[in-house]
Amino acid sequence: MVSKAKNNALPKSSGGTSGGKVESSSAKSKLRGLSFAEGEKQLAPVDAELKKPGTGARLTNANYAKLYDLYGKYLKAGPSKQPGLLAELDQAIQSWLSVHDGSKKHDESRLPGVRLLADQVRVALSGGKSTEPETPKVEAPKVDETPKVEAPKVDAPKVDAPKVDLVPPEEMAPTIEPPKDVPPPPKDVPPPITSEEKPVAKLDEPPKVEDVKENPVVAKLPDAKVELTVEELVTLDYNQILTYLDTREKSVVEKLRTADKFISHAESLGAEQLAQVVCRILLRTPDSVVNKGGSRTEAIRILSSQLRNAEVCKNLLANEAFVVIIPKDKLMTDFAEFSQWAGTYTFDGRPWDITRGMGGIKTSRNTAIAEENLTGDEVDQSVARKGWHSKEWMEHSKKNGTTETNENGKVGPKTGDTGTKVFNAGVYCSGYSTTNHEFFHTIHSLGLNKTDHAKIQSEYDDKKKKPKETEWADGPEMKKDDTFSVNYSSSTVYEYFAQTGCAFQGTNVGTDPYTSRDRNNGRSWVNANEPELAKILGKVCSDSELKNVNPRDAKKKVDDAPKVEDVKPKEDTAPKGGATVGGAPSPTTAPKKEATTPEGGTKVGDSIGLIGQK
Amino acid sequence: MSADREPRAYLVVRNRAALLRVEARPGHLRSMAAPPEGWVPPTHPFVDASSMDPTSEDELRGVLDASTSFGDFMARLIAAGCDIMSAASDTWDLPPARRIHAGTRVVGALWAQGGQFTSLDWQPAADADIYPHATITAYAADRADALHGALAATRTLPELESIIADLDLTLAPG
Repeated sequence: MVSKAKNNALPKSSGGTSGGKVESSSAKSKLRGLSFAEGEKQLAPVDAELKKPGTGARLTNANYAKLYDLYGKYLKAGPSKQPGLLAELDQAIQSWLSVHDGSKKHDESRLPGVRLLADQVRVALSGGKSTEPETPKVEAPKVDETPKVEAPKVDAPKVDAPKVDLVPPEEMAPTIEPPKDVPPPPKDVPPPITSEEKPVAKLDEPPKVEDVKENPVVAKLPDAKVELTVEELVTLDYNQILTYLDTREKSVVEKLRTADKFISHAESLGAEQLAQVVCRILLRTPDSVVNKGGSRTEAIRILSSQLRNAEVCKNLLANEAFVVIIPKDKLMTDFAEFSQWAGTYTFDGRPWDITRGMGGIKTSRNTAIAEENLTGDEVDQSVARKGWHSKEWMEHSKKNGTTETNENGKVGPKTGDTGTKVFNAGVYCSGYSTTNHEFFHTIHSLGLNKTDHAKIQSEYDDKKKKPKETEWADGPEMKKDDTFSVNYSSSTVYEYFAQTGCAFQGTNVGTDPYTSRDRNNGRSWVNANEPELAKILGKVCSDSELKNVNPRDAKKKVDDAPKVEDVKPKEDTAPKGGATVGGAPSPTTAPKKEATTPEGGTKVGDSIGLIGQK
Repeated sequence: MSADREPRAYLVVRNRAALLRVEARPGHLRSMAAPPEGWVPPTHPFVDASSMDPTSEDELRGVLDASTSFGDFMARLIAAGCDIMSAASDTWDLPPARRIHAGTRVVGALWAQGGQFTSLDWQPAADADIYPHATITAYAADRADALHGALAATRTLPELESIIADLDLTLAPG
């Protein structure tokens, strides 16, 4: 138990006087207004007696617990019952104290606690008002209202605040501390690089002679096997740095996350330049990505638009965040970064294998983004897995041994067995960016400082108290029949930030899956409806909205149009991995259109919508 | 003093991180995996829950499937090493939960950061009963009022720790 000697004086009510009942108690009038130290001094003779052999230093006293029990009941009770409970409590306190003064049978350590309670009751009785102005209750902590934030006003609130002399400043301060620059960095080693990833670009042209003359380091750029030192790197200009990052092995590039001097150099080049550099360090583009060049270019376009704040960039690097592009014909769990989820289910009953994005996980720090969502393609039909309707079915089958090895070489359902089905990967409507969404999760968890995080939390908490008609990024908390329903953006503080972020970036297109109502989208909506989040997002994001993300509709039109091959002899000349510009993939690189519906022609959502329902 | 909060809303936490946001009412189950186009979320007869941690989704769904009521779900989560706190809590830099024991029975949990008192069968309004020095959730109904009283009567964590000890309860180290 913590020594009570540490406690400062007991609270004195600002009113100073007590109600008649309280004053009538000699014990209470004797003890009230004393500090703990003074109280304990007065109790010294009692202490000595209680500590005599045979007396027992800590006599149990059920009545003591009853006092706090009564106080809890009083706090919980409605206005009609409170006066009666308060009187009962006051009586019980007086009784306890009188026994203490008379027979001295109480455990001395409990007296300060009773005095504390007596003071609360006195406050409640005085004036017959709620205890709220006098109790230690505070409004929900808001960062910009904490004394610490107001600290520059040296002579301000602490002196004038009631009872401030009773509590040491460090204990009085709300728990929100000054912003920490970086969340606690994980201690373990960085996750392994997924599949073999070769450099994404090759130097087609040798460096210009004049550049080499000016800086001999430039001469080393063409040799992809040469690793430059940090000292050498900081002599390069912006384009040369990007060339270096785009031509070296991923392991070489990722090492730069801890090269503070290099990051400072990149920062000195400008916010956009830093974003481009950091993107290249964070992003992993496995060789198995079908449209590797196009996907990577688009991922950098989107991610760099969310990395315009140096503090966020540095926090992400320090926290070893990674972003992995999942090829459109692979499962997320095919990659080392996400293999721990293989064969497991989401909370809403989908196999994690077929999900197409993940972000903001403090423990693993890896963000998954999907190739098809970058390029506007359809997910490959091969990204489907036999699974069970629910975890219960899975356990049932495993118990009965009706399983067989699945595509991942793991235990899977036996074909045709009851309770099994084929799960297809989900797709997202044209214009909605899961890359944007997942990376906002990562920024929220691993990039923002504590002040921003507390602000997002308080904004979310405040909004959750508002009527269901209140507009969120994904519309009101109402279904189309006007009955209440949480929407995606209101479901947790994480989705609140991620979906509002998408709206800020102009990528929150479509309808909410929980309410079937249209989502809100656009920076003007966020500025008008979420001004506090807009401030944070304005700091994090680029100056303008993103255009043409996940261009599924445009891609379909291209795919549905008559093909050149239909009228000309077939020539397989389309280069694999052609670049995309502005999110619009080159038609020449567009893979063939794939069906998005599972067997039977039902929509994806329909086919898996009942998974796990009780 | 304050209107009760209905439906009651909680965060399920473990290892200093929020895993799940739950409300004690029939509703839907939501994953952190973004819902695809046309997705119809599963309904549930006694809980509305949204995941906040992909890592634990499979496990927590298993716990839910084994539960027969909201109270049973909470009890099973606590038995699985999770703790429960008011949904009106900031969990970004959450201190470790300190469980409160009456003998061998877990009767509550305390966090050394400001926050709301709540119990598993009663919850104050979202902006009521928020205290600057600690957050407490009472798991045992027979200890809820005393823990609530102790939190409300104190101003510092040491004071509160002292009262909890005097109530013959044991507070696990942080």
